[in-house]
Amino acid sequence: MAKKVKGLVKLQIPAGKATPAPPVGPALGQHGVNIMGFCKEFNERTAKQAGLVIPVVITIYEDRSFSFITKTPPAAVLLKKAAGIDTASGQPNKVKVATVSRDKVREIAELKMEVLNANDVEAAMRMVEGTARSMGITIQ
Amino acid sequence: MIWQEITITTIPAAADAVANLFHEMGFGGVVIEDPQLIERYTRTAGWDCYELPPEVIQGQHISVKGYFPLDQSSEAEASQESLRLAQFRQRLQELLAHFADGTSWITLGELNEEDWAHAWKKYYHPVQVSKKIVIKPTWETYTPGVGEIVIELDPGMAFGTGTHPTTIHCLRALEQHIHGGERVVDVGTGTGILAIAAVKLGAAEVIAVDLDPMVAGIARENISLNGVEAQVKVLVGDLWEPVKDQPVDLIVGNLVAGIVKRLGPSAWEKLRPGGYLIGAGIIQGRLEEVLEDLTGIGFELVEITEEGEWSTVIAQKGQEAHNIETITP
Repeated sequence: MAKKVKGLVKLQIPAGKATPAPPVGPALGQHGVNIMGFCKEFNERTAKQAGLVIPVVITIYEDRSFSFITKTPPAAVLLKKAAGIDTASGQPNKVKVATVSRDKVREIAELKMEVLNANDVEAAMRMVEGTARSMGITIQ
Repeated sequence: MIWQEITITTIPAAADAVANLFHEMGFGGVVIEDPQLIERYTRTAGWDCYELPPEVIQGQHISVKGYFPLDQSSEAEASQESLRLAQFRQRLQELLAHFADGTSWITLGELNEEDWAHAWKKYYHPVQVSKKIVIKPTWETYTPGVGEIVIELDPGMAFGTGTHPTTIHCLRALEQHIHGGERVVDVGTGTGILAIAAVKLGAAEVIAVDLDPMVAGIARENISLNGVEAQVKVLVGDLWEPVKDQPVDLIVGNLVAGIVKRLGPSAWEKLRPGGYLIGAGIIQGRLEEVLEDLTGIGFELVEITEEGEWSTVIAQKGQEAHNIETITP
């Protein structure tokens, strides 16, 4: 268990649907990781979240063994869920597709603090708001 | 088949929205290369040590990569692909306009189809790790020589693929100190490789312990693959908890320095007089404190193997004095 880390790969893939095709195949293949082993384990762990995009961080060790952790869905996905929409606006400047409350933004910011690399909740909220604006979602 | 690789290099604030665009445009997921995330992991993830190229840790931008198959077998399909790319660029431009200082750039590349599900196997071949022991991936064929012991193992999530120096040290130590009929405990079994080796070398009974139930499951699969399930009992728990009061002849722990230290006192209690403790995974710079702890408990040092930044200690619970031998392979 003398684990020396040789690589870290972050992916966002649909829950329960990892396959050896891109992006998983080339991202993990270059590190010599057992790709089917990863897909099988990821799909089992995320089977109940079908339909959601799941961020996953895979740590690869010196002997090419690996571990991974799944995270809560990305802020963009959580925003769409909160807004009740399936797709963001293709023209966020002109076409606003939904509205999300500031309370909801705070909730998402708190949930995604670690991933957003923000120093405090306010900074994380500004990042979530930025994501929302770029998707044609208005904050109220 | 050829895959189109689209890389968007952007500011961290825009990365999530860019990834979302890939998802909405029907890409089957994205790879995110985030130097800040990796830098944060180096500080907070509790890694023993790491060796990552500086370029993956340094940098202010994030790269988001997506792929789609380039099926340009007909003119109609080729034009469909260009349309898709044009739409993607259009939406990307609209999206990035919402970020002040959203300096971003797009890079297009092509990737040849590979059999990714199997290509990683090229890294693994049968390997002789000690006088007798050969580690063989299940998909390879190997005819053992006289007296050779073959362990079948597929690398995967658990640690212990047989290619790491500490695993090899432990296998060699087991070969040296198992002569037949011993009761052995493998603490932090991982793939189960050491437990399997112990039985194949002649141990009568092995208790393999791992903290992680999932890893214990992998160990069970490998133990069954090697036909030693009758002799190995896999238990889930922290160090000694599941072992209770079972005196043993040999304890092996391919762990890290801190846990080898923690293992010392309880190993002393569980070992029969004359029994051995093999402690591996001791990083350079921490060997002395481990040795001090073990000798402080009463262990006699039999052998210390140092290779690169890793050390392995063989210690004995016994009255007879031994000469300390240091091996540098």
